[in-house]
Amino acid sequence: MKAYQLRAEDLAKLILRAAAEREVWAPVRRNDLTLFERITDPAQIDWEADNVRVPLRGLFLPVQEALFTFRKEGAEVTLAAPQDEPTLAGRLIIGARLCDAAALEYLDRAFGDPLADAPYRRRRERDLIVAVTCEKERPYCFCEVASEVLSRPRGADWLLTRVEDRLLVEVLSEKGERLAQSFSDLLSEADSQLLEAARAIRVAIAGRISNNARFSPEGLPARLMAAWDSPVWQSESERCLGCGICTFLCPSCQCFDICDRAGILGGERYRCYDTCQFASFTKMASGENPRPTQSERLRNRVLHKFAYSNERFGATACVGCGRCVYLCPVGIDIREVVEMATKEAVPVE
Amino acid sequence: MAGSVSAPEKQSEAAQQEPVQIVAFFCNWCTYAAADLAGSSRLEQPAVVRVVRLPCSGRIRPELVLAAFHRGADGVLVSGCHPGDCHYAQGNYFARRRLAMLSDLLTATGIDRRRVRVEWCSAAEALKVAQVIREMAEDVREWKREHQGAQRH
Amino acid sequence: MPSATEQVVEQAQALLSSGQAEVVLGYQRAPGFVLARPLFARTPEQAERLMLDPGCVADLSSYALQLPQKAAAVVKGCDVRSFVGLIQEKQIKPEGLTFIGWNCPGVVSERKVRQRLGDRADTLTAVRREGDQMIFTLADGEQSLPAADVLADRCFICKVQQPQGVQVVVGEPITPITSDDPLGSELQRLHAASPDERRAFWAEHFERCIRCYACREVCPACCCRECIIDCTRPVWVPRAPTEQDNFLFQQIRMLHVPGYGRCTDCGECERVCPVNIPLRLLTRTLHDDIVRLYNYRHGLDSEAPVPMTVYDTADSEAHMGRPKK
Repeated sequence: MKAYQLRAEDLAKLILRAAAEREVWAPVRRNDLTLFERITDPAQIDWEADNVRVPLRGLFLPVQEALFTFRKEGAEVTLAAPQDEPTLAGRLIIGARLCDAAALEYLDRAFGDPLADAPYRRRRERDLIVAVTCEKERPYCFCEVASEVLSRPRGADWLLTRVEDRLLVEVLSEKGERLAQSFSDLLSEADSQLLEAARAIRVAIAGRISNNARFSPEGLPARLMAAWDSPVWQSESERCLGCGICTFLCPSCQCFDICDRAGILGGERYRCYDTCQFASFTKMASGENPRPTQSERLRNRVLHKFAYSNERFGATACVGCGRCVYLCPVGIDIREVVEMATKEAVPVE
Repeated sequence: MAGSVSAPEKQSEAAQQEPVQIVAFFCNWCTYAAADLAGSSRLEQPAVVRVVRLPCSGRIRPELVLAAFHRGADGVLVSGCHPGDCHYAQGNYFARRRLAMLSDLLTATGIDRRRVRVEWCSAAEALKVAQVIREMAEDVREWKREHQGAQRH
Repeated sequence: MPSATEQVVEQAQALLSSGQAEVVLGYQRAPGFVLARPLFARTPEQAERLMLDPGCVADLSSYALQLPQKAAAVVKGCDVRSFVGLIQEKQIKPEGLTFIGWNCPGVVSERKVRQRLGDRADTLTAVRREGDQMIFTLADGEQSLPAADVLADRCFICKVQQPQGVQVVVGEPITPITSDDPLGSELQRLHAASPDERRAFWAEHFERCIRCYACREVCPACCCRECIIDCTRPVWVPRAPTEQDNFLFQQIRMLHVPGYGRCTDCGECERVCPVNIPLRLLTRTLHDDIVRLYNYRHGLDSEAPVPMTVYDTADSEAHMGRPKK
């Protein structure tokens, strides 16, 4: 894939041009919080925030969406698709981090064939993502250890890395190349010095991040499966409140519930986030619940992120973004849980 | 027989008024009886109210009122026996407290006060019921006119 | 003079060794984001990890219903009110429950600490109050900040620095930092606003709500075995986080807790919200109405009935009749 360079001062120009022909979404700060919002002016973008609170996945698998509406007239029932999203051209989403983008690449597998999720795929095919390399890591970042996020950038169409007054634009996809062509007046081919400098930045961050993980990713799926009966699940989940913060704000979580909102004459069927951390998640109509306590539910979340995902889709779901770590109100740290659970467990051959 | 039959001019004028939907929660023993009496007395009142009959105002879960607004009611009216006259002795005393706090909640969350009204109407007070409904229709219509199209519940 | 930390460890170990408590619920230092984590100590060794300092923000009564009959809990004056509220409602029994009360110097707001210290807050290992200063021990040394800049909002109006109704007390009493209620002006502004302005204010915030229910799960008063929000027959509140449905969810929760006089203004709901909804502006409005209308404060008297279970024949009727223009 090709690499270009852009003068840092031209980024605003690029964004304005894009905004003239499509929706542009970027991190915006409001209420002490940074979230993806639609912007029309590059000055609205919050470049200072570490990461958006609600991850990139929220733009592709939103917290809630209508699937279709239904109306009853006499003996007839009419179904209608929800109002289509406004853009003819795809959205340009700028300011995503590589962890969130890598999570999207994982979700592409989970929502891909043979059970392709149409609303998710439609957005993925249509929209463009410009990721940006982080300038510094935080103590809760463990992206490289979780999923080689920095050494294998993926899930986005462009990756921007700032080196002094220039931006390296690495094209990561065919769509990204077409986008680059449309800005050919602002982009020039990247020189090797810029390429080297940008890669050095990523390598340096990746190196420092390896201190943040506290667990080794070597053979992790097998080691976690061997920890099935570990007492750690109980001891670490005892203080868990059973809320949905860790899962709703996870960039790679995918579970959703489908419900109807209806009156006598009609209504709509919608989907919304669901979480394995709620007690009712696996509760059946009989009252039976195969995950009756928070202990089983914590184990499920951790194993799903680091073991089941590998087995089913060939990729670790956790991308080490750290949100569950710094947002958990009671300080449950998934890195610690993994470390403690796998410390003594020996995988069975 | 008390009350009056509405003249044709008044009826068509009423028909041209903005439609509003008011859900009314009435206790069976007092207010519902009064409403019934208002009806059989042919007291004039706008046809805007849908009555939900409950055994007692104390049975009214405030969530019913919240749900009514959530589902698109323009206004909610609640009425029961006068304090001291509750058919079940105490129900309305509890309702009074609950509805006081419901009212404060609705105000705090920005639901216009014209949209919710709490009254005591005894079984004989058919005139009062009719008057309350007329007044409420007026108040809710006024609110609705001010919020043409921009209404959030 | 032993520190509060040393005292709480000693008390906890004594309770565990003597069998008076099967578990002591307290705080331990956390390496990072919440400044202290809940700890369920079941052995004297585990109790070694207990500590007490202004980073001990959480109200541990969230776990009240999980505790066995013979248990102990480390409580600030505000926390014990939440426990007592549950005793009033007969959700927990006082017999067998030992409170280790702490003369609280005030706790910090995690958000304010992050704002002031920035990245360095991640390296915090200890925090203590000295007079009107809050001293943070960080990786690169100590940082002193005016306590008034980092205290949790509710600490400024606290009346229970010395916890009431506890069997054991640790820590030295210290002059509280008081000031006008930090929420005062915002509450007044909302009160004076028009209904539309209030509705728009809450719409902007509830739009962000993702229905994680952290507010509900952390709330000491929210202990229903089946919450009305989860009820599917009938569906009172659709699950989807649209603003309209979020508004109904929040209204119902606000009705059930502060609306019915069951809120002690612990502030946990606002603290745990991941999208920064200023929930205390609503809880306080209703909490203050309960004080004004029924002269009632939850959690101060374990025998007192909860306001919605009693009445006075002279109760206010200010909410009744035709609204004045």
